[in-house]
Amino acid sequence: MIGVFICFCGNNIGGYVHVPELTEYFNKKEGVIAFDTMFLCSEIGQNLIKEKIEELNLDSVVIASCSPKHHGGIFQACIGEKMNQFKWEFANIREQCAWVTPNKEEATEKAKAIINGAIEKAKLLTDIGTTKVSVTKDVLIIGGGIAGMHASLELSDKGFHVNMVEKKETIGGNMVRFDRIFPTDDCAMCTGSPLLADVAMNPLIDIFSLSEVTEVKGRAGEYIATVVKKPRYVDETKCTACGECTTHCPVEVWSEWDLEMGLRAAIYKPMAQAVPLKNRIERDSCIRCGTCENVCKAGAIMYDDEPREFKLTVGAIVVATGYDLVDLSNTEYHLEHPNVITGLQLERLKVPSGPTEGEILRPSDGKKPKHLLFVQCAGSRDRRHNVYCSKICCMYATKNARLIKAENPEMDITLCYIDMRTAGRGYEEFFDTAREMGIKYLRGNVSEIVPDGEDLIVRVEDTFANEPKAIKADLVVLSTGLIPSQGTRDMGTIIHLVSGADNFLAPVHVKIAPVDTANKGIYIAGTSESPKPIQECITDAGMVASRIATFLKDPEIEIELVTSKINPEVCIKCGTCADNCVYDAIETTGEFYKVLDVSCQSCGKCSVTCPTGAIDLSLYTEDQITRQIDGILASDRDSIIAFSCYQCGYNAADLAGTAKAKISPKIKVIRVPCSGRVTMQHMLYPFYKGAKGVFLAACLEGQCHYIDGNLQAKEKVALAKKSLDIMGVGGHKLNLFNMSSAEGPKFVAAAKRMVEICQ
Amino acid sequence: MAEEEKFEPNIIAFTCNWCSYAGADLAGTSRIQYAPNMRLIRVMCSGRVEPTFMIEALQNGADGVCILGCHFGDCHYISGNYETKRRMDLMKDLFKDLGLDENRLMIEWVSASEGERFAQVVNDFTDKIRELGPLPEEYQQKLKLLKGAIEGSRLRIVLGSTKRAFEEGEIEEERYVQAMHDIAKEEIERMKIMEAVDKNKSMTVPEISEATGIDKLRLWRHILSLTQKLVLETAGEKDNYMIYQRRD
Repeated sequence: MIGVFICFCGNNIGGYVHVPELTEYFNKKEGVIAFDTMFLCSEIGQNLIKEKIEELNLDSVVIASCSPKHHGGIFQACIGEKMNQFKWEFANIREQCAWVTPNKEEATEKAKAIINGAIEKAKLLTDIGTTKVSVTKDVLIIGGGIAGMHASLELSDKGFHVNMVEKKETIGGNMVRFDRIFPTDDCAMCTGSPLLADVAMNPLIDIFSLSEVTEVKGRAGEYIATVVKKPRYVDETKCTACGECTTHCPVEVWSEWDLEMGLRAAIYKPMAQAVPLKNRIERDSCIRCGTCENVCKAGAIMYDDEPREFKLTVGAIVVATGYDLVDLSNTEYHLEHPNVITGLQLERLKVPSGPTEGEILRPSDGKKPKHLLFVQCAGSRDRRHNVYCSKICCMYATKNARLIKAENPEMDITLCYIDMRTAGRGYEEFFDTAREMGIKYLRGNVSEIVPDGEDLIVRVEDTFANEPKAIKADLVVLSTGLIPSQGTRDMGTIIHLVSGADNFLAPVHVKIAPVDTANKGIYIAGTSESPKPIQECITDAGMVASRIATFLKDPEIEIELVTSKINPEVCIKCGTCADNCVYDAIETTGEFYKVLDVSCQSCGKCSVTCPTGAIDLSLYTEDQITRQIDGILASDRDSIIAFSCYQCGYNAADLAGTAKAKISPKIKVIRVPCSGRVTMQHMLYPFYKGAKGVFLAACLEGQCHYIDGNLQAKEKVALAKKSLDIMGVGGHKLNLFNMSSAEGPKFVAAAKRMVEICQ
Repeated sequence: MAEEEKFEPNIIAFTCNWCSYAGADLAGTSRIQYAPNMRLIRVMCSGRVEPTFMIEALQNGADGVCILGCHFGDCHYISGNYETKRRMDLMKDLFKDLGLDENRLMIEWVSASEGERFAQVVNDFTDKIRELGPLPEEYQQKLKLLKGAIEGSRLRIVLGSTKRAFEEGEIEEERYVQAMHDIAKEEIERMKIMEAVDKNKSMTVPEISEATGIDKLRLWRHILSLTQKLVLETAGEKDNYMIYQRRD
């Protein structure tokens, strides 16, 4: 007996689908008993499920409600109290049915098909066990900015050993380059340097500067990260940072640390508070004259220094790789003009220890500007650059304008904005006083900055006065939009983290799980997730530390064995599965081939490549998927089956629902862990059963959560298309679409395209 | 015309002990006649000749300066002639940059057995300098800038490290020479800046630009460096520009 539990979800499902009709319909089905309730996730709903499992001795359960991405965990735990926690299947009738189907009759029919598919699959569900594996208590923090530093201190306070890997020559990130921080106008270094010192002195934190993570393998609780430390050409154990080398180095180039507002030698340390406090030779500008070696009394210069690769074994990973600024050179903003600078460059001018000792002097001739103009939303909220709001610019521009105005009351300061976004503790008051100080706020989006010799003409429409204006300024500061740093983008690919359309790393749930990723034991903090002010980075860091402390609290963690299994009676030991497994999860040395449960990541690619069908993935077995297809098509023969990868395509389909996009009721999603799990049999079988079309919603190429599953799927789809052509069905009715988990509209477009093709 | 013909140039020649000095001796023992304008200064190796020596010669009455050393591969000290050749190339480039005639400088190779060649080289260079006439008075101002630049530690470091830099084999000669040239140009400009600042006690960026002819954008980079190196400091403000003066 299979118990079907259908949720009204208030009006969310009940308003779009005839829930009582569904209950009645499934109660008539043999071997099925159906119940409905207002909120299945509530205590009442959960008690109902538990009671009925016990009372009716149910074999398995179908939950027809919201997306499993939403409350899947709740139902699994609830069912797990009474029977094996995997003996249930869900039917997503909210995001993927109720919310995308305007017609109530059609939505009800679609829900029937979805639930029917789930029932057929549920009939084949078996018990899946768990096992305990040991965890390493060490933590890897990638990125030594404010989020990384704070997380490392929190974790070391809790007794964890932390490895901090920083790409730059010093930790500290962007924050320690600022002059002051809003809304308190504290000196950034005064707040940052105690943190730097704490991290540097902490015996539980190992800092690897000039280092990058190049590979992450292993499993939650025991990740193995490969780190490459680039040569510093200075022996960190000997250098005392006395600075004698820098004084004598004949080379002079623009300093990256000062964002080309100041100069540095080829051997240098970026700032007096650098951690580690060691000099570094930057080899691209070094001319090998040997002077530093001659003057270094410590004998620290190592011209023959080489990159060093090593491995770190850690239980959990924090990705805190931060942001960069969008490059606005050669755009309408003319950042290439010396007197158009970014907000970050302005910070370097304002820092008392910076190249101009805190004076605002423009780069073309060192003039102190009379007319200073801030351009808000430069590269943000603009379809030509980034559509999103960079969140911090209204406040940091206001902060700088206030500080400059306070020191130079005679300076004319204008700030052009679309609208001021000053939500936060003390923010609006901060903005109010800026206006009282005489800073001019002009509401209008700057359309163009026109160079006029050394000065600039800023074209903007004053939307209060309703007139276009051309304002002359002698220094323009762009409140430049934030983009994920190269490191953030690299980590997305290397660790196979999900990122959004904006390329920032995406949490499991932006509201209720903001620092968790889909990879257990890997967390994100700070601006690698999205643009945010310092205090939010610190909040993230604290939460990450708490999440990791919870995750690593026991010497062992329980892992669910949703893994592949090999049937030794059918296995011919050809090794194809092992060749295709990127996690080295198949042991081929013993008498029989075996799957290493702790290494298996449950992608199911092995099942697709196995020539004899000996290896199959639990919870997504060959037969379970086939029966699900049967169930759906038995209910609605004209369906278009959408195999959606649970990392990307499935999420995109959910997002389309959240956005209340319209999707044809013919589209029926079947969840697969990876598009690489879909066999050719799965692609062809629906046509045999009368389906109108089949498509795969896979991750973007290069972003497969399982590295290359989507590429394998691409090959299989190409082959299956040929077969369909030969059979006269038409290969065009089978397609693969790549989309990220954030691209709801792409799923909608794919669905629409399929409906057009298959009519 | 008559007066010009009467001009007899003063020439200083630095000759290396092992080749060209011996070549001069051989010319003598062979009784080969040559122009009497050249005064020889013996150095152990042509690599000993510092650029300052050449400038000092010109500042003190010479109309032309030459270095005579061993042929490449023959240097008694293995590579001294290569070193001096690089420095001479730089000097000639800087002469060109400053608008000075680089033909007043010469470098030639004369072996101990080339008495005849020695006489020929001396005669040719004497003729050339005679043709160029006496060193113009306006050279002195620029020579002073050049001397200041090449005596500064920055240029001395790069000039003195060529051998080491190339022998380590990690930098291409072309890149090093370019870096040397760029640094020399920068240092000459900085001499100009400091000369102007010293003359006027304190100046703003537009004033320095006007006095030195250095473009303001480039000048700003110099100011950033000179303030960072504590050579210049600010002394108030004028018309929205900072005033700079020499730091004691």
